[in-house]
Amino acid sequence: MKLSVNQYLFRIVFTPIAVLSVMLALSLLSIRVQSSLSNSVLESREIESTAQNILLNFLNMETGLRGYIASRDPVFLEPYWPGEQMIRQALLKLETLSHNDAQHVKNIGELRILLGQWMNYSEGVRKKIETAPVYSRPPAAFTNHEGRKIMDQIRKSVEEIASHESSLYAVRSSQVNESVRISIYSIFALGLILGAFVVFHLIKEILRLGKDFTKNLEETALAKQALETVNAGLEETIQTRTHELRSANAELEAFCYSVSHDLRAPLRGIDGFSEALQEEYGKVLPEQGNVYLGHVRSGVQKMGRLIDDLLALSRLSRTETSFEEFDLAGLASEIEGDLQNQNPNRVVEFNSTPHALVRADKGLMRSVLTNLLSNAWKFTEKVPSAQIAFGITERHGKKVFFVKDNGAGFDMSHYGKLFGAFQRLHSAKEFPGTGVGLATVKRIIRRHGGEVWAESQVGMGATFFFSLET
Amino acid sequence: MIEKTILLVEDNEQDELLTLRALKKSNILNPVAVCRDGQEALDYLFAEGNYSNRDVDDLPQVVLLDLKLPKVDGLDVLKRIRNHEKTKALPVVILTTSQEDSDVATGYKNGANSYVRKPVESAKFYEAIKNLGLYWIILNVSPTPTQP
Repeated sequence: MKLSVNQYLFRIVFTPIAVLSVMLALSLLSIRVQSSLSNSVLESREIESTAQNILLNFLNMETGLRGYIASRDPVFLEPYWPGEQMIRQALLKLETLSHNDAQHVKNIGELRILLGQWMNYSEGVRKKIETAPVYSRPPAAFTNHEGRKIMDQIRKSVEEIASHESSLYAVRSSQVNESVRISIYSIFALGLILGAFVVFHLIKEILRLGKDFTKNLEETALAKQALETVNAGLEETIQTRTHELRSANAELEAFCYSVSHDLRAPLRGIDGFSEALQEEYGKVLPEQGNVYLGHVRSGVQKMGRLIDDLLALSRLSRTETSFEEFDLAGLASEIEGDLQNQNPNRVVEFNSTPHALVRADKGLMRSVLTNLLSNAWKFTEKVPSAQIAFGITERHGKKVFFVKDNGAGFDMSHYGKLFGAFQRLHSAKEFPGTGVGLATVKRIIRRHGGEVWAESQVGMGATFFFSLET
Repeated sequence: MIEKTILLVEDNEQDELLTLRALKKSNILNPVAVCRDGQEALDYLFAEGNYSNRDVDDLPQVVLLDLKLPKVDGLDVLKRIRNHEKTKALPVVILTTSQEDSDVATGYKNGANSYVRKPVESAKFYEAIKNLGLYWIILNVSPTPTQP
């Protein structure tokens, strides 16, 4: 069964918390029960001491009365006077403490009656003594032990209160002890349950994790195996495809090579014999005939250049590259010098970065820079102050070289044709060319693992960027 | 002084005519023997087959050799020339359409003395032939072959 994170949290966190809360509540309850027990202990003691106090007061009063009877000195009556009041207060207190316990209420009632009886007796005796002559016999009430009988009953009542209270206390404390025992057992049991729950879930989780881990391991192993199988298949496919591609390429190159060769021979014938015709029979041909011959020859020569470029392009893929370290800026300046020599009448401002150390095929890079720089020369032909620059910049954190001019530029909407073979964005009349140069550049840059692209705007010049992976 | 023969090995008739015209225009008036394929050229040089009547010691001044030839191709002809005691010092100029660097390298490796690419533009072709004639026929009367 899959548990959501919330369910899992609930199970592993909230359940123990709930159990703990119950345990805490039980503990609090048992503490309260125990404190009520200690309260009832205090109360029981107070009831007993109050009961004893009542007895003590009776005894004090009786002792005082006896002293008065014997000596007729009223000093002995000093504890007698407040006695009744104090006993009544004590009885009230007992009433409050007894919590309407039937036995206590009965005994308190008895004590009230006994107090009344004893007061009747003692007042009677005292008044007789007061009025009787000195050395006369103590009154009959005293001598017939009426007072002692009442006092015995009082003593009995007080003892009953004390013994009843102590039995009450015993019952109460055993009840409390029982409840405390139950709560302790409950807490213990809950603790056991909680512990078992936590241990159970821990074990379950560990087992589940272990199972998942084993399952993952198995799945990983299976996936790895599958991947290896696919890889092996891919490897095979790649080898087959590479082989096919290589032979297709070789065929294509051989075709291109022989076509270029065989196309050149008849062209040479056409041009050669046109030239012979012009030279040997030019004089007898009408002027228009010579013009036509000129057209034939310029057409042938253009085709010758196209074939040469095509041949050069096809040669690119077949030649082995040999990488070396050299300064691309130096090479650019060298080519720029050649271009200046070839176009002595033109003034072009050329700026170059001082150093551009690269690792590349020097011959191929010469072809790249020759193409880009001669394009720059060509397209700045109609600009009053031509400016061409070679430099290094950065794009997406990679070193990028560029050739920039302020020439005719091109329309970016035709960008897709820019690097295609025999594609031209300008008419031959505007700017001559075969349309192979940039295709060559692209091939070379690709062979170096780099990219070539351009940015331009009509009339605002063009910038050609290229990167080299090596 | 009898001018020595120039041997032109060329299968393309038009190229042959143009080469002959170029030689004439450059005032190279030596007789020119033309062979149409590699085998014929070897027969000529070693006085075999159709040329068995020829004097084997009468070697041409220079051989102008096309590379793409029927039967035996130009490079094989060159190898045979260099391997033979009699002809190993014979000046051989490769005259071809090929622009391939590898062809040039193989040519020199097999002992070609010079290498001329036949351009489409006739003006350049004439110039190339003229330079060739100046060096191998007029200036270098007794050529010393360069061994690879």
